[in-house]
Amino acid sequence: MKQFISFIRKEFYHIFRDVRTMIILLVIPIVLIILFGYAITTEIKSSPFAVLDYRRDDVTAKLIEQLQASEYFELYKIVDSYDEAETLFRQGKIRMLVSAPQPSKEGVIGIEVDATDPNEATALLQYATAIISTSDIVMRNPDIQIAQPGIMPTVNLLYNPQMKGAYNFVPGVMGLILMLICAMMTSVGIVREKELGTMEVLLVSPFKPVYIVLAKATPYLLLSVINIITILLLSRFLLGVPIVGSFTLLFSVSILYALVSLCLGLLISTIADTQQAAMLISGMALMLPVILLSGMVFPIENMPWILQLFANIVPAKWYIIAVKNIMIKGLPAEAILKESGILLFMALFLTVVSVKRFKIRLE
Amino acid sequence: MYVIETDRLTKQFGNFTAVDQISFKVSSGEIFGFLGANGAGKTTAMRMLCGLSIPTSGKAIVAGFDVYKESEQIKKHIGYMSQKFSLYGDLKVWENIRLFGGIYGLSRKRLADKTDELLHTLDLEKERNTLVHSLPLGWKQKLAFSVAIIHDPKIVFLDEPTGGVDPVTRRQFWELIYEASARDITVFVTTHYMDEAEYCNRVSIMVDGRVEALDTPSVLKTTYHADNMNGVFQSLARKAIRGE
Repeated sequence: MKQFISFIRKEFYHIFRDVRTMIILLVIPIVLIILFGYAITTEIKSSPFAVLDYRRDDVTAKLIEQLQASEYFELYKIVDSYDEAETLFRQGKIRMLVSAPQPSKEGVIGIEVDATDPNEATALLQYATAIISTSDIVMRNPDIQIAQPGIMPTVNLLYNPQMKGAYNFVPGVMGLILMLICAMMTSVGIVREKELGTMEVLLVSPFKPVYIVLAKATPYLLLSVINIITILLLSRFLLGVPIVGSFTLLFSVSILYALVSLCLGLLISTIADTQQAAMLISGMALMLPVILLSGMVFPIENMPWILQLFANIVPAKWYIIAVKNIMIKGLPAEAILKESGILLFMALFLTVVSVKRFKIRLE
Repeated sequence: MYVIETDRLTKQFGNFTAVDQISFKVSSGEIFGFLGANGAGKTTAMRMLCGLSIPTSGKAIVAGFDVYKESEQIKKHIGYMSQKFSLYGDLKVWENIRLFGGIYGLSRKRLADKTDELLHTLDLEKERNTLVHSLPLGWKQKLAFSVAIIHDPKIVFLDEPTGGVDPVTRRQFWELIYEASARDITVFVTTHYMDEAEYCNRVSIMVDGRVEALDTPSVLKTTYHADNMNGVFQSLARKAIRGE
């Protein structure tokens, strides 16, 4: 035990005395949360639109006013001809065109959107349809219909009524940061000792290899706990993402995921011989899948089947599902049995593999 | 009394025999030079004696313990310092001492005494709070050696401890080795510097995994009709078949 404490103390000295490590531990989580919370957002804000108004009465005026009143749209111009609108579309000046026909003709209000970015187009269409169809002036005029879907669905947004991107990104960023700290930092830490030659000295000492690894991992586990709390505080009070479910549950599943990441870091340390290699492997083999295949940025359901299959072995996928279930939906422990089970299995499997490999390396 | 005894100790990696039936004995307090060209099998032999690598065949008793079954016990009774630097550069001098003292399970009292004694002997009292990487190389090596024997081991293994150090500092380093030997700590040292081989009580020279010669420097010089250890080494190393 005394050996263990001396060793952990040493690890903390390494961490606190290295500027790079401190930046990764303290600054990166905050930067990522702010970046994903504010800069990289899929939300629609102030999209420019044009109106092609043949009607020229209070109905159009009212519609424009109501579209403007929402934070999603901003009137760019009232155009006189379809050609003019098309030019504006081509120039990228507008994203959406609302056309109001003369009352004498079929009273259909047309909505056209620039679908270059399909996600944005779908969102615009939904918002505009919702606003126009619920507008009282349209409701009071039974002759007006919207050219959009024949059957008008009632839209009810569950769990995230404001459709805030942060609800999706916060769990993703947690998955990313825990992986970064636990896997990358642990692997680099162990490989550094190999590179410096101090690992040999430790192996010759009576300190058992298993404890060397445990002592290496412990500080990072502690620091990732601090990071989980920081992220949750930031997301709660800065981004306004609530924690609906049990905090204890959220915390436990985070620790489980951190353990999986630690095991991955250990595995990498048995493969890599230099710190650069360890950094590169963790970057390519861990960070990229977390960003691309975990469902954090791109929905997994839309991927080709082979990538969907591959996504199953990305631990972050399961972690992010579990976090969303607890944090956003407020579901109880039963709802994440499958996810925690898979993470637990991954942790056990990786421990066995990396301990085996670690032993082989010693030979 | 012998602290290291090997009998036909062998290590094979697949078809390659890195260490080929070496047998020797080292007495307590002896300074034993372990020489050989690169690839002669020195490091592999040393790793087996340290309990890091299990031999393929043969016997070896280190500090009274069997290398096959009691490697944990062996580790408690040996010290080790490698050619690469053995201390942590980003830790202060006293933090390094405390770390290794802690790893070898020294009591708080003994550790404090040892730290003072060690800093005094090395004349490093002023550098107690200095980060190790800002010390000159020679001081680092001396500190690393003192830390390697902080737990008063029976044997200390030194793997090319003076690589890259100037002759004056090397001389000082050897004074530390003599002091340790006087305290009955056996010193098992590999080196590339032939002048250092002259400082050893006995020297073994490995060629292609076998111990080709083993005796005191003066006997070796007479046997091989050489003026110095370099001559002895050259005439033996020439026989080597395998390269690096």
